[in-house]
Amino acid sequence: MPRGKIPQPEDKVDSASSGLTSYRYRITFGKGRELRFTGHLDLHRAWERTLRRARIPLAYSEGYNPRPKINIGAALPLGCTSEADLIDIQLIQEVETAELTERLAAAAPPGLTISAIAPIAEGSPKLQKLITSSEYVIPIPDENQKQIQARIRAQLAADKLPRVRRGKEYDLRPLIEDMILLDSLELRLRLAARSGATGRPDEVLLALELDPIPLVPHRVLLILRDSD
Amino acid sequence: MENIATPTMGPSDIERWLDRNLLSVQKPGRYTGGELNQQVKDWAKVPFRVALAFPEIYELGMSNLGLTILYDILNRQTEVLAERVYSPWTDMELAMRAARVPLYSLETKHPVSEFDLLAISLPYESLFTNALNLLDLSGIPLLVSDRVEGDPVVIAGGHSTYNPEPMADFIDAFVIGEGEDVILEMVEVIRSWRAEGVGRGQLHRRLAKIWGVYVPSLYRPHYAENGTLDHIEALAPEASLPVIKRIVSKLPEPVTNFIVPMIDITHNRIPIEIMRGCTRGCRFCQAGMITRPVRERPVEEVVGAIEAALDATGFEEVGLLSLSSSDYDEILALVRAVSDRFRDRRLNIGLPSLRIESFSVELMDLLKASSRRGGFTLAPEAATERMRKIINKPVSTAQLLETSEAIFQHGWHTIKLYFMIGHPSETIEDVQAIADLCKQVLKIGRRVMGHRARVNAGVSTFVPKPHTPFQWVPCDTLDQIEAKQRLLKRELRGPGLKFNWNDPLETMFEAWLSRGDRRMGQVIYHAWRRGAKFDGWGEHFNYQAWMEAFDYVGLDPSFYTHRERPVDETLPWDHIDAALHKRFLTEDYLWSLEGRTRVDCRERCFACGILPKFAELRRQNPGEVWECPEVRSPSRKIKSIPLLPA
Repeated sequence: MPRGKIPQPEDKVDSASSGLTSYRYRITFGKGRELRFTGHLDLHRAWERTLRRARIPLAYSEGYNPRPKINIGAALPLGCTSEADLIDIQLIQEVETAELTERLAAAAPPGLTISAIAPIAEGSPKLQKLITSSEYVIPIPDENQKQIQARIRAQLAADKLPRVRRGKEYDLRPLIEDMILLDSLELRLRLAARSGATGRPDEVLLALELDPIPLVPHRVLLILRDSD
Repeated sequence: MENIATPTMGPSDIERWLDRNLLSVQKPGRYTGGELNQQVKDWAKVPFRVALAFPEIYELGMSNLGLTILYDILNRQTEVLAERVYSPWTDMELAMRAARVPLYSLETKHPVSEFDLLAISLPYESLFTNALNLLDLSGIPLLVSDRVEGDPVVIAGGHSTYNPEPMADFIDAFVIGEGEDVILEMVEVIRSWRAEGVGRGQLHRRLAKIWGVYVPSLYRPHYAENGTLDHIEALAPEASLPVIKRIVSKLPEPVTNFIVPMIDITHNRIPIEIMRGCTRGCRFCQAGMITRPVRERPVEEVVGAIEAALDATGFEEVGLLSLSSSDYDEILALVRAVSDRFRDRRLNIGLPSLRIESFSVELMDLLKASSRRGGFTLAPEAATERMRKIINKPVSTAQLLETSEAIFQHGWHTIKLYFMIGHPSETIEDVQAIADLCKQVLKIGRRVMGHRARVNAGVSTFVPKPHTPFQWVPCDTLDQIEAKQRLLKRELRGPGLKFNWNDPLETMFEAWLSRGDRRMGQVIYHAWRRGAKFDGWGEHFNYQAWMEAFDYVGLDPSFYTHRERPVDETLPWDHIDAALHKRFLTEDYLWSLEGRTRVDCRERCFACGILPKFAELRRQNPGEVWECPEVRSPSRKIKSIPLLPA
């Protein structure tokens, strides 16, 4: 049975209690330098407040502590910017995407930009199940270009790249899908972004012996698998 | 401690440094600014710049309503801009000092030293060393006497400055009382002084003329041989004695376009002040004494403000703030209006400081749909009726138990009970009674709802505060406090019971700072030099540094903490007039010793001193704007102060 056809349990509860079907939208948004140091949980709250300011008719979960039904696709590591992040929101009534865009853009905090909104089919999988990889561009300092090129080649050729993060050992290599240094001194990375297997750009930078603290990785794309 | 020399970094250097370094500190979101609703103005076009500082971390500073109000008022002026400054946490401070980055404002990253005016909020004493550290990080000379014309004018206000003396060496001018009107008058005076280019002494004398402004450098304390204060001498004709507190005659329109933080902060909500002041007259409560008269905001104004703030911020919660919500005249109408109006917008409504009576439970019940189901808080403050009469919070034990029963019956599992130990004439039996009462309440809870019932007892230690009827009484000694806490720790354990207390050393610290005279400034300075800062943070509190500072300066902390002061002693804050007659405070103190109580002063005026002092203001604002009786004709005996600065 195709996974997409199974109604989500939360949808059932919601429509049963309110007599409404729910409407889901996928928003592509950017996170600018103003929000570089806003973490995932805080971004979630910033979205919630943006939607509340815009008076968007959000669907809420039932129960003791109702939560708005919003779901941010893939956490962006602290310090990064993005132009291609994704959030799904669920509403209790239909709103024209043009109107949604306008109202959200007016209510968004500095640094949060809305680039596209599209309705999504009811019952389609959660973003976490769809996202497979993310692409980053990282402008890097101009010294040692040749050395960095050599390190990139070596790493792509390696079978394993053992690293330690927060006291845990793991292999970075399978998380790097592709990596290239452009002549413009931009490092382009495609990293795995599946649940339980997410590559971090700062880890790649460390592996390349670059100090990640002053660098600003910019996410340019989230890659989704076909939903069926 | 290394003093940062005249900063050479400008906003763009600071911005660049932050961009490259913030990932290496904890919670970088504290240091970026750029939140929704922050006010950014062009420095090239705005001639007067104010830095509003809360000398604590961002999460606490952003939760302070006082500075939020001043930020709004100042930024409404076309000729003025106001930006925020908070204390960096220790890791950020280290990084900044190492790179010689001066403290900067969040909005435009200008060094604090480039502002014309630095206004520091000091609501409580544990911020004093942080205020010194903030000046040092800004490269501003700590001592008023070391500052030169180009340095910002440093002012401070907030409840702790009702005794300004401990911080007198570091602050050019204190605001005594409410800041809404006086801040603009001070800005005007400082602007015209800057334009004239005359010395700081001139500025001090001009500021001293403003009603509610205390300029410590224009006063000299003289001490008697026994170390007590003999008198305060005014050194200039502009220096009035006493300095009368400033009030606003009517609460100004509430702020609604709050800055929306991007990280979690202590009070992450819309704060709306529904009432200022309190008519209860609890004798331990400094806020209740110094914030008189009681002024209420109309229900429609509160509702309108919440609506506007919700549109502007999207916050999930509103706090209806006052010292005693139950006493707000139209509390039922307010609660109904707010819960009806915002039901669809999923707004949590916080209603703190409710009286111990079943009506409070009904009020909370109305908010049930829109309130977090945490514990229900009651603050009996003392556990025996005798003691509650002494502190003038005369609630009967029966009433407390009935209210507790109603709370459990309405479905709350947890009751938080707030008490204090160390009240005047407290015996060990009064302390034992705290434990007994908590257990009694728990027993009621168990009867109503079984083993889910919980009682959390928060027991702080009383510090007698200036301008209260208890200002003469000594603070408990360490031995007394420890004995009382030992008893409570022993008694208040077991399933369903939780006990929280304060570190007795921190209580001593609060006591000597709040009751100190001008010599305390030396102690604060030397404690800071020895590393004292973030004193309110438990793990950072450095008692040793304070003891060394007392020793170095040659003062004895117990002179300030444990000495019972005779009622005829000149107190270090006597030249600050909170508009309370000293005979009112003295009488109330003597009444407390006899166990005599006073009713709520909405029922009967006890002539505390507010009305005679502000008769003219009251006459101009008749009716329910104030809860004090009406003033009809001017009394000849009463000399009221002018409405505008001389």
